[in-house]
Amino acid sequence: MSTKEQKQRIELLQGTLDLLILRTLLLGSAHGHAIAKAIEFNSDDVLQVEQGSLYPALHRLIKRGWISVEEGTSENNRRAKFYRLTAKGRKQLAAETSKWDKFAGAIARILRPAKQEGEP
Amino acid sequence: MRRSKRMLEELDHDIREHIERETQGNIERGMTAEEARYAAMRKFGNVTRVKEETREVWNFIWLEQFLQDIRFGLRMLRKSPGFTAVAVLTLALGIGANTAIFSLIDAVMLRSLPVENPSQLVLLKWVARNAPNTHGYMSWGDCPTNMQRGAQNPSGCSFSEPMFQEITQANVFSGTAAFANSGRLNLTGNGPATVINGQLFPGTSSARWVSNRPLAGCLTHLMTHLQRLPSPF
Repeated sequence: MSTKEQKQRIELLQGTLDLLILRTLLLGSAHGHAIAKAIEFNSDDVLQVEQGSLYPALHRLIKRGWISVEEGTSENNRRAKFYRLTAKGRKQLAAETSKWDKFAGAIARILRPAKQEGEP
Repeated sequence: MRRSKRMLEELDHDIREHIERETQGNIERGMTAEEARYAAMRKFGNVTRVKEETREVWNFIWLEQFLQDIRFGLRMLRKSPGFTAVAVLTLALGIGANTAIFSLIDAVMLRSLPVENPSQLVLLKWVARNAPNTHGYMSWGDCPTNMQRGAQNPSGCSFSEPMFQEITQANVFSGTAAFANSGRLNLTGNGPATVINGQLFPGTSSARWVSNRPLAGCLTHLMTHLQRLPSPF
């Protein structure tokens, strides 16, 4: 990727990767590479995820019991680990999502107060 | 615990697999094999660091589980106060009884002096009106010695050798013994040499009333006690 391309990408905020993984797994179980690809694709390549950082995050989520792991064979018949959202993880995702909405809303209100004032 | 170990053991394989997939995808998008592999590696980031960070996730899991177990135990105990009371009482009584019995054994068997009649043991001490003229005087341990010229009632615990012989022959005591500080000794043997403080303890006359327990070890025990004995005068 060129430097110009890199500049348009945004690095992830601390802790948001966990949330993105949980959201991705809401659609069904997936292996590590597929999760990374899905995050890239669904953010229109704006979010810059260093793919390696996915693994500490996955292990963290397993430790907390938010996702589970099972062996399986991928589409091209190779052995792979599939990560699946647990009930606990689903609950966590709901809580974190509403927290994130509040956070994003608050930041937006602070950064763009002029727009609100200008409104008729 | 076992789960974390298995997860970490398979981490290498998972990472290899991941890079392999990315490479394959890059080739399908028209890169040469070499380019594709290089791009995949770059996209993945520092493999060693990723492994380290993943390992750190599981680092203190045993401690966390241990704390969880403790919290669970405490919760369970709180839930059944009757059982808790019985358990605590049993432990308290057990520990208390053990302590009491050990104190008794300690006093009667372990701490009693290794001599035949510990209660008859005395330490001789001298008191004088004026400080004596001596050619060298050796005091020991924590025996209070006051031999300063012009001191009120100078006193001490050390006697000259002829004086000791006199006391021994006076037959007032069933046995007598003397000891003297030997100064610093060099103890060598297994390991580095160390400096120790020795005591001279003349054998024949003293060994009679020191009971037939093994002397090594007992003697130091005896010495520390002798220094605390009351003086008969």
